[in-house]
Amino acid sequence: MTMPAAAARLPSRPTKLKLARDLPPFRFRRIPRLPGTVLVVNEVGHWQFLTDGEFAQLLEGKLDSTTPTYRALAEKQMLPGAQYDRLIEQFREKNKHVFQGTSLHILAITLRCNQACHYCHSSKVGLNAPGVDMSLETAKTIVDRVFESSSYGIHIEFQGGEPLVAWDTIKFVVDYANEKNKYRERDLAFTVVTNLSLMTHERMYWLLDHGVMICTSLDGPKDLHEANRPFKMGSSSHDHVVRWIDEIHAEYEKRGYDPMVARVNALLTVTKASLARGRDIVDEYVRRGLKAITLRHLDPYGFALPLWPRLGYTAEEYLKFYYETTDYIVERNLAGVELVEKMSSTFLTKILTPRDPNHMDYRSPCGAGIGQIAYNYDGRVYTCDEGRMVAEMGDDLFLIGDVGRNSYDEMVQSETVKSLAVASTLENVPYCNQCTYKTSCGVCPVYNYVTQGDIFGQMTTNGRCTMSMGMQDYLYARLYDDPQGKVREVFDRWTVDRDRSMIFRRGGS
Amino acid sequence: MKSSEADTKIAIDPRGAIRLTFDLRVYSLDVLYSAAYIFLARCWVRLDRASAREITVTLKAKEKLDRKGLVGLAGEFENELVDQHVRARLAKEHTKLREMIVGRALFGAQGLGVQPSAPDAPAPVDEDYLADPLGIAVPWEDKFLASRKQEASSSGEKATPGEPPAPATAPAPDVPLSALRRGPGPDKWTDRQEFVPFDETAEPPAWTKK
Repeated sequence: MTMPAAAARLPSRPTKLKLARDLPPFRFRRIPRLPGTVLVVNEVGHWQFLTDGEFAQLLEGKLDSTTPTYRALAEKQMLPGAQYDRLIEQFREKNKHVFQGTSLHILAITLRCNQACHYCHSSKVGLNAPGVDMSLETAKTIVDRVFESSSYGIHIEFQGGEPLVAWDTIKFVVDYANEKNKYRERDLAFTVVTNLSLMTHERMYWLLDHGVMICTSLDGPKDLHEANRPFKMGSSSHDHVVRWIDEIHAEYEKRGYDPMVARVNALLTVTKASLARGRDIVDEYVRRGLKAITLRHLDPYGFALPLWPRLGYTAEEYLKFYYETTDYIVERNLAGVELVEKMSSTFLTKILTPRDPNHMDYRSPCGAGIGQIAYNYDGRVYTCDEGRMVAEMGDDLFLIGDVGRNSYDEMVQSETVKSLAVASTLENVPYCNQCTYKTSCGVCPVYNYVTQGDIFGQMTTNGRCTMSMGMQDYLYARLYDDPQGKVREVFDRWTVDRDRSMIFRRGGS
Repeated sequence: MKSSEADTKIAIDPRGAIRLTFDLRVYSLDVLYSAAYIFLARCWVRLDRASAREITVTLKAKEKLDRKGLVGLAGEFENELVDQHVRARLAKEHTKLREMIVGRALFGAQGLGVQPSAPDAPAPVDEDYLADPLGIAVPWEDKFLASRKQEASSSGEKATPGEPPAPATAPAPDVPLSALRRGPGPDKWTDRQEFVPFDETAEPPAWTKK
């Protein structure tokens, strides 16, 4: 029998391996698309590619100290004699979200909506449905609870349904929170997540005057967008969204805002119909002057679940789309276009900078309850928006309280929040605990529960894990195969975190 | 059938399974379990005790494999065992270091950093323990309301009793409002990964051998 080459340079009898003394902690991975190469990553996310031979030499303390590899490993504190005080400081910076408290507060202010998106993750009912709007009394109590959070940063996000249906509630919450913040002095921000169909000039001016970020959905060119997101009334949903993206951008520019910062945040949801349309989607985003795109995979929640055979795809199909489309986005960037792919950006920020972007879905522990909270229109509170969607499917497992009856502390210290924190702390998750990508990844207990019936999940058969690993394998492979450093320049730009506080904060301009 | 290494016995079942028998003196049970876990997506996996010193691992491919495919599967499993063995060795070596890094990073940030071990002798008694030069024992309301009233009278603003004060020194605004689904993060991005410059003149450490 011939042995595959991957481990050829290690002793074939492992009992013969003599491990060097005092090696600092690291993990390693053989990326399938890089045969003969071992990726080594330490506790704070410093990484280095080694050949199989160098890896064996590193383990056995026989690495030649005159080589560039030795020098790189020494600079990254990956050799005996590492400065642990420095590593501790960097570890603290990477994990400071554990000290920050709940910052993202998602308010589903109505379930009413005028679109019938096939994959809708939220819950939705018709525009005339009664009893599904948040009352102002509930909204006020929610804002009071939000300000009980220990987090200095407070980000209130309006969702639905279609939140512009409940315009008065948006205005009330923004005004009341701003008033409350006069003596609370938090770093307060707002986002409205809207399909833009009910936008008016008056509303646009009000949102911009009050520094509210605007987020929408754009699934690509007209035919694709409308196939995914049809209007209930039959008119063109694409026409509305692109008209208002253009109008809002024009207004930002009129006000003299930096176009790299002041942009509508458009979200893409990838359905089966999108898989062959990556280039068309990217071109549509560039045409609209958008500076970021998120190749977000579809999750099997809400209305998407019963339609999964028609809308869904395998992790492998998604990865093929992600590779091809990201290749194209990088190509456009190399040609001078500024367009960030934000799934990549999240991972790259962890890989290339000392920061952590604090993405609620890709951190350890995840943000459920301790980083984000979702408030339903009726005052019921869930660990996260995904947990709220599961409730709309008839399962209240992720319910943590009611704003009318429970304090913030009672909700955040509930057994449910604690369980999710344990289940999403990567040290506790089999396979994640030894994964090389532990410093740059995260699990979603809600996804695990919905797809595998267990909040811990089984990672080796978990679609989200397959996708996360595949994306990171891709990004490392692009960094490896980049002799002139051009891709690295693009990736570095994707990790820039621009200060938006002058535009989107505390009443805005 | 035997592999080139005498430690592993391999038997192929033409119905699509392969059975490998391992000597527990070469691979521990934990290492065998870790490697088996990696194959859960591709195979139905079974572990049995063959004898006091041997474990049999049966891998039945979920997709039909011919003899060549099954032999390749066995090779992949054996390579995975080597990696898992190295991981287990590293994990054992690194447990205390990891705990030290995590412990000092997380608890240190809360002001509860690891203290040097105290001497056995009893701590000296502070004779002046009732002194309060920093005003720690002053009730919060007294301090806060007094300062708010003072501020209000100087600025013409009305004090707001019942609300906690802004922190004396507000924490740095570390919240970029950069994306939907994101929480707070640092405000500035002056950062790339910073590494310690390599000292060309330093003697190579004793553990390296050319």
